[in-house]
Amino acid sequence: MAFRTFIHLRYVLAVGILASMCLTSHAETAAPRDVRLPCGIRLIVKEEQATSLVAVQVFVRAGSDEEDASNCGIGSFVAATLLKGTKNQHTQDISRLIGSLGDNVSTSWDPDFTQIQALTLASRFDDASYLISDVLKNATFPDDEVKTARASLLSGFQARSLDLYTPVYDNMRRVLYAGTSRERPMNGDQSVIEKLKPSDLRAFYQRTFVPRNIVIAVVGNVPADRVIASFRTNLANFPRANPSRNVPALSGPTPITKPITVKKFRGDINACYILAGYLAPGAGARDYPAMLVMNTLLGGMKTSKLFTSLREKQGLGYEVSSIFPPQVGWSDVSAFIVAAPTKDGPDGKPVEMTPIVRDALIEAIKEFHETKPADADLQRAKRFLIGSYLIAHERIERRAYFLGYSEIAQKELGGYEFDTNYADAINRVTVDDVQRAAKQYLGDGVVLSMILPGDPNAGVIHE
Amino acid sequence: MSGIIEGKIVYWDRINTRHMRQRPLTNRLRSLGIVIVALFVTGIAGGEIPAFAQSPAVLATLPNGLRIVTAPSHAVGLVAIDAWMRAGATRQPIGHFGVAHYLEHVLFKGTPTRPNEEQIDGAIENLGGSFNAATSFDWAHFYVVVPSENFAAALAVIGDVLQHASITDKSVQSERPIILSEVARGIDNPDEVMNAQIRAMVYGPKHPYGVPVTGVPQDVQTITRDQVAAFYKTFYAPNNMTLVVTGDIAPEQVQKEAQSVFGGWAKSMTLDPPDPPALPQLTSIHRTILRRSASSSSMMIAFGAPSVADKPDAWVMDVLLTLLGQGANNRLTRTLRDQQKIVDSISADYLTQQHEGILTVTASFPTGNPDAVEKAIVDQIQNLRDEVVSAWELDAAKQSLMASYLFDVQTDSGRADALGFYDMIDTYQYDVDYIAHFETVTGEDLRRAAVKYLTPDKYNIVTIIPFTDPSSAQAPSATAASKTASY
Repeated sequence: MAFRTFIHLRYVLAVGILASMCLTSHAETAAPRDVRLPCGIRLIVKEEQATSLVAVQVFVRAGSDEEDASNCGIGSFVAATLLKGTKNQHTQDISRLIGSLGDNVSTSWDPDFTQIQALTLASRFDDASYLISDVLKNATFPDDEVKTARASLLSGFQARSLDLYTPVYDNMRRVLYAGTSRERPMNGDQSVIEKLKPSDLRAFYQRTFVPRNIVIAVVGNVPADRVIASFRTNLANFPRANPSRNVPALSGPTPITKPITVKKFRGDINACYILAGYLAPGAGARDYPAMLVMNTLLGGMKTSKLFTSLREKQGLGYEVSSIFPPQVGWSDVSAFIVAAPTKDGPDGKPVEMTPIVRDALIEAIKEFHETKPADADLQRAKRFLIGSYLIAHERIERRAYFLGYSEIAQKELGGYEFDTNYADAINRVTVDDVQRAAKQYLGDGVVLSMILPGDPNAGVIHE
Repeated sequence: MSGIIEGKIVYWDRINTRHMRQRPLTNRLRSLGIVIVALFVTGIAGGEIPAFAQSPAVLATLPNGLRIVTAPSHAVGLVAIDAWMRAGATRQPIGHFGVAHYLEHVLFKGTPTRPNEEQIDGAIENLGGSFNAATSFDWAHFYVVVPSENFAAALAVIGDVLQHASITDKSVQSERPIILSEVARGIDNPDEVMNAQIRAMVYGPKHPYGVPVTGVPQDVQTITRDQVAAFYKTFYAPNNMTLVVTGDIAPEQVQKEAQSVFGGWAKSMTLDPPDPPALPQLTSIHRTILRRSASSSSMMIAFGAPSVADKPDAWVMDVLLTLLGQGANNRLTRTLRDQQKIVDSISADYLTQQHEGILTVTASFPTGNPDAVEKAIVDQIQNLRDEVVSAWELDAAKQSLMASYLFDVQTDSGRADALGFYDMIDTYQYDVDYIAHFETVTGEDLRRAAVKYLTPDKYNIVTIIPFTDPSSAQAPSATAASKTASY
């Protein structure tokens, strides 16, 4: 019988999503409300009347900065076990409740945050609020569930990665972020995951799931007053206070001053994967808007320096781009190219392309570094960024994500208001801002990470 | 069937040649568009549906044969423009493998009024969007998403590229190393290698589904400007195209602008491709084992599957696929990964196509025991043939299928993708009927389809075994095999 209910509500949610496609309109969106709940948790609410859905996005500052080498991976382990039991609800109870909400409640982890996401009908908001609050306050990490989650995480380590960008990026990251929490593997250490006990997870949860580490963003067709009242009630008597000590300042990486090369070979590949990584400011830095525009001009769009120079003009590679991921504290700009390892020369003999492509990549970045961008290019990059940001907001759950992310990670840029004011911030960036950012961050301190075809008989990876 | 599948594995039959890497977002592209109307038909939670029924997809056809499908949504001030051409690999003349995909690259190289790719890409980026394209066996498509006020300007750029591309020898030559680099990247992906290999086995070397869409490196090396230009002249024509527009726009405005941009485009008179050759008939299990430097073993098994022409079977197959290896709590994952713990990952896949399809099961597993994995997969197939699934499991599969679709179709681009996809292989109306039809699928339908298509004693199988596995000693190397079979 319970399952029939579950089925019915998923139909309802399905229809809700469909209806929302037609009805959602910015014109019927209220300005966000920002409150600090009595327990200390920050809550941002944006009411959208022309949808039948509500999306809840929770950020908990329980990332890699809270880990050390001895428990590397515990944050993702906690996230994987978070919805498996509370003092008030057994695993099956939570499973049933999630099913009744439409099966769109989940957790995830990245090196900055643990996240809880929920998407359900607006009429079911109170149940979603209860579930999320219970998990934030009372997760229990039952032994059996920890065992199951461990097996799943370990299985994930074994599953093949079909994307070679990740290893080439990780290899760069280990050097660029040496001495900080980010030098460790992004998905945790397999040998550590094998040993962590349920009590370790509980201790990490108790230490990190405290009010000042948590931001909740809610977007949907629920009156803001009702959202606030619901969380005020459900999060009352939060069982853990903020620790008395201040949050320690993040230890920044030591900037490198000359090029460092990390080269690995794999016998199972046929293309060269070359990445040039530079240390960059984080998503909350004053320079962030200028860095976004700079990265777009460097390799973030098809008329960018790298795409036009390396792909369209020189024909060196199929996939060419630069990536500037939003991260707390420090980030990186990675210029990336995938190229064929050889090319037929004029005499018909194969020419080794790796050094040619590597040098061309560095040369293109150098030219970019030294050249003032044309105003037409700058304006195009801005329009492209603003349009892309709008496209990224198509889904209601993404709108909740950006609202919450801005609040917890971009405080110096205005917190959640940065999400609303993004276009203004981008439009204020000048040519001088871009050139200054390029000169400051695209210097000699580059980590060149390469994964190249090796002897196919020599194993998967060797130095 | 569409997208829940393709969100997991990027096959060579769906290649985005204009790809630029971006920070991963939650975006599983694909799927249906007109579920709306379908849901209305089924009467589910009817109180919330009428709003949807007010904005169905609208078809108009220009005198030159160009089909225009518009689906307004007024969601977030965006519009998706997606131009679909019946110009995939199936249209290539025999021996010209890779030409359809090559053309897709060269189209962006310039037109008389926009003489280089920077002017084409720059025009769209100035409008706040990005120009992308993809080529498959049955189609190629070109798409942008821009703020809705920029619709007309963006459509003009797309129209210019599709009608007036300058196919020069210089542009064909300069694009060759880029396409070769793309092919090399594909060969680095074990799933793509297995997919290419299994298609070669199922369809044979003369069937367009039997060769990678990109062509093999030898094809790419020898394609000429004249071959590319001839393909363009023949198949890029209004009577071979569907323009899909979704988002914050009215059908009347779309039709008016489309008439302005495409109305003067002349029809093509030579569109019908020859029928592909018949598939080799299987009488037993056909195996290919590839040695490769890899950290774990992989396996892909292909069974028969219906074409889009056999709609009732195609709908049944989508539910069957979801239950077997796609949906939440699917049988293969639950049994082989969670209970037996003999695979690290496993899934099933089926792409609805114009001609006969295949249902594939793909697994990654630790070295040493491929026979056990194969037997466990075949056991699951046998169960589907022997027993009618429970109402509980059937319902769960349908829900999972619906949830995946709906997630994808939330966005304007996802909806445009679904409408165009089905209009290329059948008609966009396929979606209108889709949910209603799969809702009526019964457990006995699943069993009947399993008996018809999933034969436990007749299938093709490709296994990749690492060099480090002692059992690989007798197997050919992936590189060697690829030269004769796929590459």
